[in-house]
Amino acid sequence: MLKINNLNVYIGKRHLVKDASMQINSGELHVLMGKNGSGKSTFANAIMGLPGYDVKGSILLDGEDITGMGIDARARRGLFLSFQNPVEIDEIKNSLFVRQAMKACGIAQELSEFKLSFINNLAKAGLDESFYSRSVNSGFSGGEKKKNELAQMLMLNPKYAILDEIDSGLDINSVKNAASIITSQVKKGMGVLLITHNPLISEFLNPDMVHIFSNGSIAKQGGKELIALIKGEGYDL
Amino acid sequence: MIGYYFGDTGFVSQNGDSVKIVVPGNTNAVITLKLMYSGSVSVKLGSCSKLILSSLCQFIDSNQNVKYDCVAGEGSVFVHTANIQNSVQSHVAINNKLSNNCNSTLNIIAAHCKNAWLDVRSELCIKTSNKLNLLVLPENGSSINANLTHAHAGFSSLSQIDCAGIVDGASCKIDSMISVKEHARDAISSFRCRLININNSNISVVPALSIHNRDSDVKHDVSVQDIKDDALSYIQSRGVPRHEAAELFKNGVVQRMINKMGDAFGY
Repeated sequence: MLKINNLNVYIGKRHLVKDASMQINSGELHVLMGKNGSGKSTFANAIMGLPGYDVKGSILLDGEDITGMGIDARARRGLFLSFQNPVEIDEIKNSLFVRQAMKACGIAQELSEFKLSFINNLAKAGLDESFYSRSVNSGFSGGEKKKNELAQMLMLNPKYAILDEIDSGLDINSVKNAASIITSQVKKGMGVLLITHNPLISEFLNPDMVHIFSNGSIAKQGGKELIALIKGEGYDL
Repeated sequence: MIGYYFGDTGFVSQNGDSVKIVVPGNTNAVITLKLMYSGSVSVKLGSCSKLILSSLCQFIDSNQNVKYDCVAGEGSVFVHTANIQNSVQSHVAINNKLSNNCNSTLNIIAAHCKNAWLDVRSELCIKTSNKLNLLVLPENGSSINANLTHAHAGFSSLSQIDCAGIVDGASCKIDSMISVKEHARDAISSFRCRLININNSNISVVPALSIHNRDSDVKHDVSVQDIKDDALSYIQSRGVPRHEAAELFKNGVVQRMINKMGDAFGY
């Protein structure tokens, strides 16, 4: 279980996330929605432990308090963040990066097995074989970066994945494909928090819970019916 | 003169003061050269020939000076990879004279050097192409000083200088000069330098252009930066510890340049 208790996140004096609590069990899909700038990504980044945030409250991963841990330690315990804006790293090849990540996470694969598996997962995410040897996200389009994040998630197979706007920059076919990958991973037992401001992807998903973020707080929680409400009335519920 | 090479393939190990390599016209040659002392290397490449020269400068003593004088004949292909390793207070000078229609690539790697000076000068004639790839890896209080000159003397000549490196608690000074003479019309040249500054290194990169022809296309592009924090955080977010993430990044810089140098052998 990924349990977030009364999370407060600050940058300097700005109070960006206020008393947010959430509990994601294995094999559950949660959707977090909200307007642009409502604090969704800050919430995701703080859970992952990205630098630059002052965090109060607690984050428990399968009962272990990870609040004070570094980013890499959280990842090795099975937490994954798909970035809203994945960084371009010209200096490192995609394959080398993912292989190193797998080694760090204790997933051992022979090179030939790894290559086959990564190319296969790139294809599942909608990317061709050339992305195996390209530099990490370098020169990728917005949609290709998101697909690469999905391929990395498939390779690392984390216990819990936070997908920050995985649907942005994707065409409708790719959105459907991303939804299908998420559904399949959830069925296999992955706990997923999908962050989006666009209700479209949710049409292809069957979330266990929907959370609406407003001004840094969880303003509403409910089932899939909340998404229909947002589609009709926007975020001013 | 202690070595005189005339033929196609071989290994020359220096144990005196000078080496002379002659490749006749219309001949392909692959030569490996090991330099351990001060001295001079003379390379003469005949017209329409091809020479792949790998030279390892691994000096036994400090304060060693080596000078290469290379003359490439018309229509020849010359690939020279100079690996300067573990040098202490050494000075390596390379002078390339490239005749018309020559295609030349010079790869230089300077690693584990405790203070090294490097002077490279290439003169380009008509329709000559010359690439210089330089990888510098000074660390722990050492220094590398490089002077790189490309002089365009003939029309439609093409030159490219690409430098990369990691300067880790060390000093690195790179001065480049691209000069285009008045009659060298349609010359194309670029100087690109990407250095990673770690542990408060001292880095100076000065790209100088001296252009005397209005048809030339000459540019420079220099960046000196630390390893970006957002890149490290991204790598860490996949479980890789920060120090390993930094190593991965540094290895990537080296590998990228080595790959580029490897491409040079594809002639």
